[in-house]
Amino acid sequence: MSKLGNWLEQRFPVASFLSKNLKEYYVHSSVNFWYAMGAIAFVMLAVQVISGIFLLMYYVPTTEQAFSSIQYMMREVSYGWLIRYLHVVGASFFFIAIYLHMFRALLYGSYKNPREFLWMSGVVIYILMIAIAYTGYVLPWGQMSYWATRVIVSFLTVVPYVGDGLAQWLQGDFVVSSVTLSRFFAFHIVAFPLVIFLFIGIHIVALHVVGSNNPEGVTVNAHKKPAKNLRKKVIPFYPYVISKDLFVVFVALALFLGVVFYAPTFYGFFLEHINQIPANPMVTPSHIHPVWYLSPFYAILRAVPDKLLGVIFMFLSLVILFFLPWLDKSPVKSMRYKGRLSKGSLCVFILSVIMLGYYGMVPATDTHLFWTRIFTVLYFGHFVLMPIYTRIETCKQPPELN
Amino acid sequence: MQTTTRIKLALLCLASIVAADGLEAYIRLPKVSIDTSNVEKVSEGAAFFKERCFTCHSMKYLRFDDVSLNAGINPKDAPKWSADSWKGHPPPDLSLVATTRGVDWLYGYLKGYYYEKGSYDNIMWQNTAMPNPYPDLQGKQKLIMTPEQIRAFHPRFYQVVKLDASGSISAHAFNDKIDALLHYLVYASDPSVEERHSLGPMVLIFMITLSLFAFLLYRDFYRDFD
Repeated sequence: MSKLGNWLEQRFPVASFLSKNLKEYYVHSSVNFWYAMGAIAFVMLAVQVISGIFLLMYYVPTTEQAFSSIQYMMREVSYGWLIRYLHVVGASFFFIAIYLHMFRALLYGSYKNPREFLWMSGVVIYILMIAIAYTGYVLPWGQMSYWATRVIVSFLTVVPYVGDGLAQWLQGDFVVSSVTLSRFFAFHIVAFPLVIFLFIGIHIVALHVVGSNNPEGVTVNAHKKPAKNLRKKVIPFYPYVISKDLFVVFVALALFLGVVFYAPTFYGFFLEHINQIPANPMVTPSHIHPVWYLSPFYAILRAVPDKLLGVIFMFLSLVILFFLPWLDKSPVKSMRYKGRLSKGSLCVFILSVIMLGYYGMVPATDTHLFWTRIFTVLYFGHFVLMPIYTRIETCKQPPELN
Repeated sequence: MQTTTRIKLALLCLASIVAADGLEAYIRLPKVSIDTSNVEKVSEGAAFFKERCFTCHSMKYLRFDDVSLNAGINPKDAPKWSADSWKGHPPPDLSLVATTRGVDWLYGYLKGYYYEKGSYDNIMWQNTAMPNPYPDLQGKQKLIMTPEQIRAFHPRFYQVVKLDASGSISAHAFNDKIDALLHYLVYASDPSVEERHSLGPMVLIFMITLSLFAFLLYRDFYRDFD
């Protein structure tokens, strides 16, 4: 090591820190491409932060100018359209990566002992992402921005006794107005990002304490150099796993940029056509719905006939994720070794999330509501019945590390 | 299925049809394809916009757009309306109309004026506040299906209206004008298309090459375990 390196190392041991957390961080060789989704999410976060900084230079957070400042930026600032589309498509890709990341955790039991805290910190990140995505959606001040804010603020009014006061406190006015826009702007660019950075830090520290899970569900000591006979089964993160992550991240970025350059609104899914109309408090859109990544929760809200209960169930559908590590009583981690009931239930759960996503975006006709209710029951059924079906099913014997 | 159930179902279908408002939901529109890289067509559309639309409609987000400025569409000269002009329906700004309405709908709307009982109405938007901007060019169209027939048969657009008296230019020439206008409206709603599509291939080739090298690197490292 060079003299300067030595000098720095004694005062700020960055080299040994990196070495300890990359070169001497061991994972099982069965980790596959599902394990690169976190890396994709991390890169998408960077894309959001960088494009967000540039957006901030031109965006004006007032009801009079928010909409037009974005239009002028897209048309008159050099590559302004690129910055805006990167941020818009980036939000959707962030959620795609996180949904795949969460699916991986469900598939391989990455939430199970000893990773309960890791899983819970991830759920907090997910909830923060929803908050960031929603407050960001308000900023362009289009029709759906405005009316979605009206709907979401109205959730607070269902709280008994203090509901109306809470709603006024949040929106800072008697109606959704310029004041509301300014504070959602502050939440979106400062408050929530700071908290999400904190929790991403916690998530990564927690990961490095307990080590990465793997599809085989075998326990690996992440910080101990494997014995000679295990050198092909337990591999260091650097340079092996990171090279795989890098490849997957580049492919994901290629897809991402393909969408940015050739279908930035993604047929109205990533950037809704109706939100290209400036907010108009006098005209209610015929049908209000959230962007695709929040659609399942909106479907659950609408499925319940009572407004208060609807809001409660919508929040429960998120909160229940925190209890997942204790609902799963299975002796094995990975779906590879779990029984038929767990596999079937996971399939039904994924189907119900997709179908709820669909029903959250279409108008609530009687037929749609009927199916939304069925899938809401199936969504919760996956979790509520989990202690039963994971106990009674027969699992295969997972391999030992040897 | 029992007869009563059938009747109930039929009634339900009928009720849902009658409940829906507007005829446009029952008309099958042609899929319009627009290629905004066709600069001539876009400019032609801009000229037509200046001639027939700009008297009432603004294009406020196109402040420094050469195509618009060359055609004389300058936001400085745009008509200004107050919120209560036109009986509370001032002509909207059209910068983003191609995104918000969709080009198929616009095609139907722009060609959808028909003459009935001494005045014009639009098949895609009954009782629209906008007067027919080009009866002299298009001539008179008439409705050849009753609203009940439209609801029952889900006809194609061209089955609904028919040219009754031709205008000052041929139907073909008029079609061309509408096509050009649609080109301009689509262009105006997202002028980044040209830049995106010229930059896109280079970006993607770069990313794919990068991915390829990353793949080779990954394969090379994992060869240690073969």
